[in-house]
Amino acid sequence: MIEIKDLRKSYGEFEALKGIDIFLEEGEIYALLGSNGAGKTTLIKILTGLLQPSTGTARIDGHSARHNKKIRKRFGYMPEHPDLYEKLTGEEFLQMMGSLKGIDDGKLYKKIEKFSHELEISDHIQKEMGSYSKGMKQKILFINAVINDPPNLILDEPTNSLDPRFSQDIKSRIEDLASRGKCILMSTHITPVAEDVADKVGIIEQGKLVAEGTVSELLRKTDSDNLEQVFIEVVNHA
Amino acid sequence: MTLWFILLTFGGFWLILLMIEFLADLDELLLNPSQGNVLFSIFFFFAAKSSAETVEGVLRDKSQKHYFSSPLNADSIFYSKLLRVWLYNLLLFGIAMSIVSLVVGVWNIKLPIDHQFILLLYLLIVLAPLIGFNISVLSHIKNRLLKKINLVLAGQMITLTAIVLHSGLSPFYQLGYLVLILVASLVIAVFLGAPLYEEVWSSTSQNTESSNLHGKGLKLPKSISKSTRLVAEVEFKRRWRRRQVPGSLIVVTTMGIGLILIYSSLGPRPDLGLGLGKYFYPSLIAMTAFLAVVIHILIPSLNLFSRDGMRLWCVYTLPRDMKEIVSGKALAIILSFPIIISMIALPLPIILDYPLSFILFSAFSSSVFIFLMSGIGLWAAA
Repeated sequence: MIEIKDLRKSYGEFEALKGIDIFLEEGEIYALLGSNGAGKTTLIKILTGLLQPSTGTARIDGHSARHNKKIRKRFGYMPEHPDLYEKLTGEEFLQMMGSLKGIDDGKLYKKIEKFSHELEISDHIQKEMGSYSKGMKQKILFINAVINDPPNLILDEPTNSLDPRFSQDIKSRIEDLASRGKCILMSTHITPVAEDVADKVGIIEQGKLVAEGTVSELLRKTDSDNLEQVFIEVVNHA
Repeated sequence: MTLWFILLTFGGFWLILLMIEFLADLDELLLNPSQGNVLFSIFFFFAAKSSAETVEGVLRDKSQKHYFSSPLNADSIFYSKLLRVWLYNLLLFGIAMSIVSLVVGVWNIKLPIDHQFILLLYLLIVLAPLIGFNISVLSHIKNRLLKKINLVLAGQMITLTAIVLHSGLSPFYQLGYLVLILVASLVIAVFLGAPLYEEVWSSTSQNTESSNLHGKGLKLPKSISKSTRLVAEVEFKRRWRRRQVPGSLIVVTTMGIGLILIYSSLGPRPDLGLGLGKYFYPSLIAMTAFLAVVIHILIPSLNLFSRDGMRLWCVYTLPRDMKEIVSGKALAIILSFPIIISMIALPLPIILDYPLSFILFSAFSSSVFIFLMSGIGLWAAA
């Protein structure tokens, strides 16, 4: 369960977030849409404890994100930029992260093997990540986020840099995870991705949540044919 | 911190200059370096530095794809990169010379050099980056035969420079020959380096070969907490693969060998008129240990977090205590302390047949120094 209440973040005079309220229940997929620099990544970083809010609360399963250590086991995180340890192999990185997340070594090896086979990176998993394409790094980040089967997932642009086939694959994995009760908050600027998988969509603009609802509700409210039109309409009138 | 580093830089330069002045005043100097040796050492340092910079900052720079996919001529990209390495080293040399001039002026130090030395030095500093750049580019050609031929050609420039500097010719002729070497190096750059640059960049920056170091790696005892152990093992691998550990290991080993060479040259009781007497070797060991610890421990500790930068999310989102993670990172650095002890603190006291108490003290004080410096480094980094 993810709960965000009146969340604000300021950098001096500049207000990056101006009082955001979001609530997600178990099994729900929430897609956060927004223009570049609207505040999506700031919100996600606060939720993961990488940034501290100025005021307001962000909670995961009832634990405040301010006390990050308590919630770290409760979520899997996929950052927007694939900043990885370039000198480690994909396998070494996943082994380290999995072990530190408390997965038993035997299980961990099997999981890494299974995921790398399914996401078709088996041939590269023992090579240094510095030689990976962006898409391959994205797959490593996804595996890292889900490897310990956390109850909540926070995914920042999960389908970035993926070809249509793997983008589709990740979308169906997200849906599958939600059907198993995971609470998923994802940010994206690819509206069809949100349209396909999200139970609820929030549009954030200049640090404010300017629209929220199911896809059908938003289409109806704005009299649009698709989420892209909704987004443009809402952002233009924000 | 900036002020601290400025002070350290000035202090370092001041000490080196004092040592030069001191050595120059000695009547019978057993370790009297010739002008040719000094010039060649500086030249070689800059050439090696430029070569390393070319590999890391030019040949492995993937962002050049934007240039190669633009209407820019490949030759222009080559020359712009050469110019970058060249200018950067000249700038660095300029800064170093400015500090030297300032220190010499403030402390009124008399350096044992003349204007011909300065002229030769400037010419060598212009020549060194060019040779370093050529060697790096030509050593990354895929065709083995071509690589060997080109490398022999470029390598000859270093040999010729050494011959000229040790030839005993008058500075005028030395300058003339160095200009010829400069022209020859430019010819190599224009006719060999530039035409092959795109191919070299492409094969070097797009290299997807797996490292051959992906073995089991370092395994630490299980008595260390799991998080600390795992992080230390991974950090050690990362440092090793960045060539940071092997590089500094070579430096420390060379310093150790240098100590032994000094001993074999000066004998067990050198009297250089220093008034140090029996303290000569202990002081030498202490100074070498200091340098080794700075290179191997202090500098990596200072870089501990800044190097990771955007990758810190990996450890910040882990359900582990940050203390354990930081301990692991620090442990990876401290793990290299046996190298310093075995290469610097122990060999010379053993050869000199110093009492056991001194041998133990040498190892113990070096260890304390290692932990102290890693602590200072980590504190500053945090």
